Amino acid sequence: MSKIKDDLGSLLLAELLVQASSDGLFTHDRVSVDTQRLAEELDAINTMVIAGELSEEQAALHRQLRLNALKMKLLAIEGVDAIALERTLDGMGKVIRRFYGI
Amino acid sequence: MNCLSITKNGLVLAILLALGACSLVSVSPYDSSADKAFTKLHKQTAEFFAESTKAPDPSCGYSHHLSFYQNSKVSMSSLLVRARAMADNNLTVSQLELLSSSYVNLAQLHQLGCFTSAQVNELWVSFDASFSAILKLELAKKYGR
Repeated sequence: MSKIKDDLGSLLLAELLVQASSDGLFTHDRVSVDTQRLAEELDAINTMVIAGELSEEQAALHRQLRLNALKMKLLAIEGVDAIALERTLDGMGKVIRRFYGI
Repeated sequence: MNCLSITKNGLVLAILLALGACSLVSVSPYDSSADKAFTKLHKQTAEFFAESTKAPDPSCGYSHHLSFYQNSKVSMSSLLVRARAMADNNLTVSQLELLSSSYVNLAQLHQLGCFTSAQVNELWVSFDASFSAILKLELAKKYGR
């Protein structure tokens, strides 16, 4: 029984590693890169205001556009993560079904 | 003891199979019509920005681009109705609502005056990032990542 458990555990771990290595599961670094980029972009808008290229009213609208873009990126990351998790669970379910011949 | 162990393993197996069958997180399937409509809207917007980067001309004002804003509004409305009609599509709906709000902001900005080339660059970056994010999710639905 213990041998069977070990075999199944190895197969599940292998499946998990395959899914994880195809870059869908871990996305925290991308969130921090995007947030950092937003900070730089907002700074660039402030520079344009100081240089007189934009009024405060125009700058507020540009900032809103950048924030909307970031929110859309975060939603995309959330969706891609959900799809990757779904695939991982599907993959592990298939391993179990194959293992037990279901 | 053996009987207990078999029952326990069976229970674990049943839970894992159930997890695999009805996944915890659901995302709507890929929608090719939405993808095409979205790509068309992206092209219209890119053309609008390309035209806006030309040398200053008297037709740079908001009133000369009403058709672009009206077409964008109609396209966004169609995309949103379609997206809302699909189950488990909350993420895409939220993205499209944000994009719709971005078009409203773009119109407000244009009503304040003609765009400078620096402004067009800023706007192009914002809209490109927005379109890329929506396409990224849509293509992940198709290809799995």
